[in-house]
Formats: sequence, C-alpha cells, structure tokens
Amino acid sequence: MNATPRVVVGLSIALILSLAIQPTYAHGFGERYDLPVPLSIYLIGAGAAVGLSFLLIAYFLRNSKPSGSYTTVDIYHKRVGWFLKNRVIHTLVKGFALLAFILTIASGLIGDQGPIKNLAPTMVWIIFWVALTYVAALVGNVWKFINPLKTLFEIADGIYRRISHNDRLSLNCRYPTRLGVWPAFSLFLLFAWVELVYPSSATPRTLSIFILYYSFINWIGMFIFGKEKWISNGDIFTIFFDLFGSFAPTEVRVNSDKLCLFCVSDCEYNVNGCVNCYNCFNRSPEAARQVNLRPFGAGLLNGQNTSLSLFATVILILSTVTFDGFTATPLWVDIAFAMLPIFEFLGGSRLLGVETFGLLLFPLLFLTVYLIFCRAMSYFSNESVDTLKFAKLFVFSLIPIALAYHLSHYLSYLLIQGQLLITLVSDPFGYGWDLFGTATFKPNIAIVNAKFAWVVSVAAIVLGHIIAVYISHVTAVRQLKDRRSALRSQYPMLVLMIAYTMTSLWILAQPITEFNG
Amino acid sequence: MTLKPTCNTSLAGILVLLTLLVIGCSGNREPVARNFNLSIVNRTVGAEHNKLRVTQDDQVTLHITTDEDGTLHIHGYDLESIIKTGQTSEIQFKANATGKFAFEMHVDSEDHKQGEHQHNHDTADKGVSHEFENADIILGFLEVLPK
Repeated sequence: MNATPRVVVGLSIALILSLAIQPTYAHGFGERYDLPVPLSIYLIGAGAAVGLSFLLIAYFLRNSKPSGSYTTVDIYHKRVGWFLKNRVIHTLVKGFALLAFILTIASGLIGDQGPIKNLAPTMVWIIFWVALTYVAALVGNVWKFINPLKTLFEIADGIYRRISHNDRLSLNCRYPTRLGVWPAFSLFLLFAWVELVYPSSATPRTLSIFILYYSFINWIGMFIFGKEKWISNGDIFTIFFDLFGSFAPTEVRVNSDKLCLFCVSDCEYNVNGCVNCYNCFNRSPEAARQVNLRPFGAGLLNGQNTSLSLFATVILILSTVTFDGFTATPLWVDIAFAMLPIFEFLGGSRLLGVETFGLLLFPLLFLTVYLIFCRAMSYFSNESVDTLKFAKLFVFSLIPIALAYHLSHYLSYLLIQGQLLITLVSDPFGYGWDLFGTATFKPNIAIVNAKFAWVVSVAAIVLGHIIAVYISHVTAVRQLKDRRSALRSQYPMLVLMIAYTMTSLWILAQPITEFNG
Repeated sequence: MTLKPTCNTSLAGILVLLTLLVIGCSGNREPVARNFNLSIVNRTVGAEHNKLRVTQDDQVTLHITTDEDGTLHIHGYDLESIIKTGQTSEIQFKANATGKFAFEMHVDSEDHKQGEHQHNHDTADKGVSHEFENADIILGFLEVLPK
C-alpha cells in the first residue's frame, strides 16, 4: 500500500554502503572559532536565571489568574500589511525559494565537491538549518509558505488538473489517525543522525542525493494522502519550524471556526477560530483572515491536545538540539573515548557506533528526566492528573530554553561562515565564475567580537528561561482547577528548567573539542 | 489581557542584558607586541606553545624553526608561511579578530600544491587509503581574547 517502506530501505542501504566507503568523520561543516563563555559571565547568567525565576514566582503568587489569551495587533487589514495580500509578491517569494532549492541540488550534483566551494553545504547547513530557524522564531514561520516541495507538488497538481478536467493529483487516501506524526519523528531521527554523526554530511553530492530522497518520500506521501495531510504529519521541517515558530511575534489566524471543522490538517481550533493553519487561512474569506503581531512566546500557549507522537517528536527535537552542542564538549569526548572498546566489532566505524549510540540514548535520558519531574509535578499538584498528561501539556514550555540555546550556539557560526554565501552566489558550482562580482570576497572573521557573542548568548538563554517559566505557569493555572495546586506544581518544573538552562550555559562555557579517534 | 506580565518579563530581560553589557564592555587595554618562538620538533611545538594567548589588537610575531620542511598555516586569519629546516620563518599580523584559531603544518608531498588550500574538515572526497597522507597536522591553537 505505502511505497514509503521501500524507499526507507533503499535509503538505509545507501547510507550503509556509503558508511563502508568513508572511514573518516566530520562534525558538520565549516570552521568554528568560538571561544568558550568565561566563568564570570556564566555565573552571572546562572544567577540571573535563578534570581529572576524567584521574582517571577513572587509576582505570580500575588497576581490574579492570567487568561492565557494575549494581545494581538492585526496588520493584514491595514495598509502596512499590503505585501501580505499581494499575489505578485507571493509568487516571487515562493519562486525564489524554489530557485534556491533547485540550484542547491544542482550544485551538489554537478559542482565542485569541496564543501566551501559549493553552494549546497552552505545553503543546507547555514541558510536553511540555522538562518531560517532564526527567521521562523524571531520573525515568523515562513516555511509553511515557501516550502519548495509543497510548491512543486502544487505546480504538478495544477498541471494535472488542466489535463484531467479538474481531477486532483492526490489519491487522498485516509491517513491513519494512529500514525500521527510518527513518520516525521522517524525522518527527524534520520536527519539528526545525518547532521550529527554521518561523516559526509558536508559532501555536496551526498547532500543533494539525500535531499532528493527526502523530496521523493514527501511527494509520495503527498500523492497518497493529500498535500496538507502529509505535510502536517510527515514533513519534519514543517513540524520543526512550527515548533520554534510558535515563539515568533507573528501569527496567521482565522477568526471563525466554521472552516476549521473541515480542515484537512486537523488544526486545533476553538470558538475563536484557529492559529497558523494555512489550510483554513487559504480557504477563508478575506474578512475572517488575520495576520497578527503578538508577544514573543505567546504562541506556545496555544497548543492543548498534544498527541503522543507529537510529544515524542518535540522531545526528540529538544534533546537533539542540546546533544548537538554536547558532542563538542570535552566531557563527551572522554565518554566517547571510554565507550570505543565496546564498539570494536565495527572496526573502522566504531566511532560512528559510539556517536549513533549517543544520539539514541540522549533523547531517552532527556525523556526519563522530564518524566520524573512531571511525576513530581503531578504529585505536588494533588490533583488526579496523570504524569503523561502533565508531560504532554508542559513540553512546549521548554521550547524557549532550547530555542535560545540553539540560536546562541550558532550565532558566531552564522555570522562568520554565513558570509560564504556572498562568494557562493557568484560561483555556486565552484567552476570559477563571478556572476555578481563577489567571487573573491573573503569572509570577515572579525565581524562578531567574542564578548558580544558571549553576552548575547547568555542573555538570550536567560531570557528564554524566564519566558519558559512564565509559559509553564500560565499553562498550569489554565489547566488545573485549583490555583494553589497549580502554583505548587510549578516548583518541580522550576527546578527542571533551571537545570536545563544551566546545562545549556555549561555547554556554551566548554571549549569546543573535536574527536581525533 | 496579559499585557502586564509580558511587560514585566521584557523589562526583566532588558535589565539582564544591560547588566551583562555593562560588565561586558569593561576593559581598555593598550595593544601589546607579542613574540612567540615556535620550534617544531617531530611535528609538535611542545606544551608551552600549543596554546598561544593574546589579546585583541595585539601585534603578534611568530618566529618558527622546524626539523621538517613544509608550510605553517593559521586558520581564520588564513596566514601561511613556508618553513624550512635551518631557517627561521616569520609570520607577523595584528590579531584584530577574537576567537580560537588552529595553526597547523603541512608537509611537502607530491599531492600537496602550495598556495592552493582547501579548508574542509571533511576528508570524504579522498580515497580510502589516503586519509592520513595529506593530513593537516594541528600544532596548537591561537586564542585571541576580547579586551
């Protein structure tokens, strides 16, 4: 029935084969010149996190129940939001994203295979994985709009409708509800492995091939289950950018719930309509549409019914973001070195074995610790809400901490290595072209001073921490009947968040180490 | 409406940022001339010289002697000098960018063309048995600390 298993098997075989050829390792791509955060700044950050948390708690104890709704300012219907309605701009933006996508794949396949001479690694690991996350979290989730796989499918669908007299391209088979977002979960695990463990993740051709595999999996999914249905359950980047995008200060909203009943993406809606469901937005009349400015982090308050698969995916994303940084610490190098003998049977690939093991174990550890604290929350709250329900409810409040760490971790990298894009637009294939006159541009490594990076990183993490504590508090008060027990339940959560924040700060304070095994 | 708590949170955040900035922006050291004598023996520089610490804007001079011909290369700054046995080579520069930069030596071999230098820590495009023939031998790190 589903072609996905065959493709996954094919992908796995390809991966295993390429493992056999590459005995070396590489962590990501491009050099990092980061200096570890010095102890004094680390301690100030940690102290601030703890101190401000207590201030917040004191504030909560005195004030009345927050409603969980937040201020919004609609710009869709105002003059300043003219570009939101303009069809030409829509097409240009989508077209540009599509062009970048096609150029990336082409560069990887036919261009020079040196990672910094080729557009593909920079486009994938710096522009897409880092810069777009910044945009999604700090401006708005644009991925849903610019997703090139979606655009290409829409084009194919449009063509098919012309020649088949309005018959839709997709089979629109019923998507098994139990399947949830497990496809996205599995694919994300694979992606995390490629990003963090696979030695050739910076080789242009390999990247292009992976992108093509991923595209085909998604197109098959869209063909079978329908574009919107598959994308909301199977595209890892939709879920990833959705998650971090819920922190953003903008949202798309439909303020009537009539359309949501028929929403293919199963958007969460209430009597006021739904948020960030492009499916409903596209189908709704102009009057019901809103594009709102909102406070940072407010979007994290919106989710109510989290499925088990989504919960698992969020845990996976949070833990791999932290694991990414952890693998560059001396502590990890010591642990990995100690574990090497266990993987002797893999011979030359034993380091890969250790790292894969770490990648699988870390989320499990993360989950275990989180569940223990959820159990404590349930106990403190004295209400009959079970641990798993607490777990699913509060997992989104951890996002600001993970997001702040992710952005801080990559700040210098983005600003320094991101300058490679300037050279690459003039010479994407590495053939010696100079289309825009920038091919000889040398990245300026002094663009970000270490002190600036330290201060911004620590401030961001502390800020993320405060927002997390706040979100968690509001969630508790909304969900639990008694305000007292809601407040009590937050003490374990505060401890967990302080621990998570400290861990993030600790990683930033570690010298970046590479494994030479 | 939860506008007030959001205001308080933002205020708290800005306070933290300001405090850190105030602490962060202290320090007005005068640039200093720093000299390091690196003697490469058996492809290492010894424990005292594998971490060179300077402050931003210092004028740094490396005097290099070696027991093997090759090139010395400083990452980030992308500075290179040919090193030969029996001679002292010099690299002089102003450390205007903060960070941690590896310096390494390349040994002359038929495959290695001087002046053409690819920086990728991914050796995947080389064949199976060659991974250590052209390896960059990392000698140590230059740490440029902010003022």
